[in-house]
Amino acid sequence: MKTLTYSLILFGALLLMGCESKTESKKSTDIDSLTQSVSLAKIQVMYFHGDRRCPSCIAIGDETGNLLKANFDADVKSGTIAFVEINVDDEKNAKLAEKYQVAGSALLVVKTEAGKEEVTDLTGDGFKLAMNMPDMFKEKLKVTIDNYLK
Amino acid sequence: MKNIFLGIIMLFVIFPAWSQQEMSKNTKLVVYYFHITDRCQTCTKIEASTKAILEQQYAKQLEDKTIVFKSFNVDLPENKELVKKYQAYGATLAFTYIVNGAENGIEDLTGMAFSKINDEKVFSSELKQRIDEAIK
Repeated sequence: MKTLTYSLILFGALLLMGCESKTESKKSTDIDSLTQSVSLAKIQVMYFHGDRRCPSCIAIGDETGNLLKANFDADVKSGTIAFVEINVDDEKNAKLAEKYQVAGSALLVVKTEAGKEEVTDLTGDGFKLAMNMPDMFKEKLKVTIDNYLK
Repeated sequence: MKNIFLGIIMLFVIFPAWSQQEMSKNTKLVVYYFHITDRCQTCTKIEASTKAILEQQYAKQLEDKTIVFKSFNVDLPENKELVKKYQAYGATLAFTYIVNGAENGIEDLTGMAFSKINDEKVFSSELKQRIDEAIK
């Protein structure tokens, strides 16, 4: 009986350990898969924000989405362009936020070619223009993407 | 009609003069912060942090007007010309460098501010580096 009890406890413990290590490995897979899927596209439009988003921040995300849909739909569908939304308050995105030195909101257009990254920071234009001058903002974003697509 | 025409001319004459009043012969840096009427937490934090850095570490320069700080609501009609000049149609942090009483370039720090504000140390260091360079 005693042996059976010990065996059951041991089995239970092993089961728990197994579950935990599975969760851990899933966590790291999530980070890696996000990084991988992001770096697969030639152009990544990376939109960083926190849990609490202000109207200007929301406008940046919305207008970026609008432009991509209206002007670059085929490139997004083919995977040439990826629109990635990253919540910097989510712990699993800490690596990405650190890599791009973002501690707040940001809009970055990243071109990856031959393993090298080129980054254009449109955060300033986003906050200055997206809400009150959306067309001006979208034009700046379009020019950046067009240049990277060449 | 003549009065309206004269009024418009006066507005263009008075505006630059008003703007100059904020400055003195000592001025080397003009820090402008623009915001909309309906402000978010981050926008308020950027202004408060910028002000705090200036007041705590550059009090003397604020007093003798080596540094001038002012914030503007971009939605108010009286700020229309400044908004246009700085393309500040939303929250904007702009440094204007002054040499011998004349403008010597504008640096737009909006992007830096919004992307670094949650790391006070980095935000403060980026700001101080530019301020020190401007007033040396």
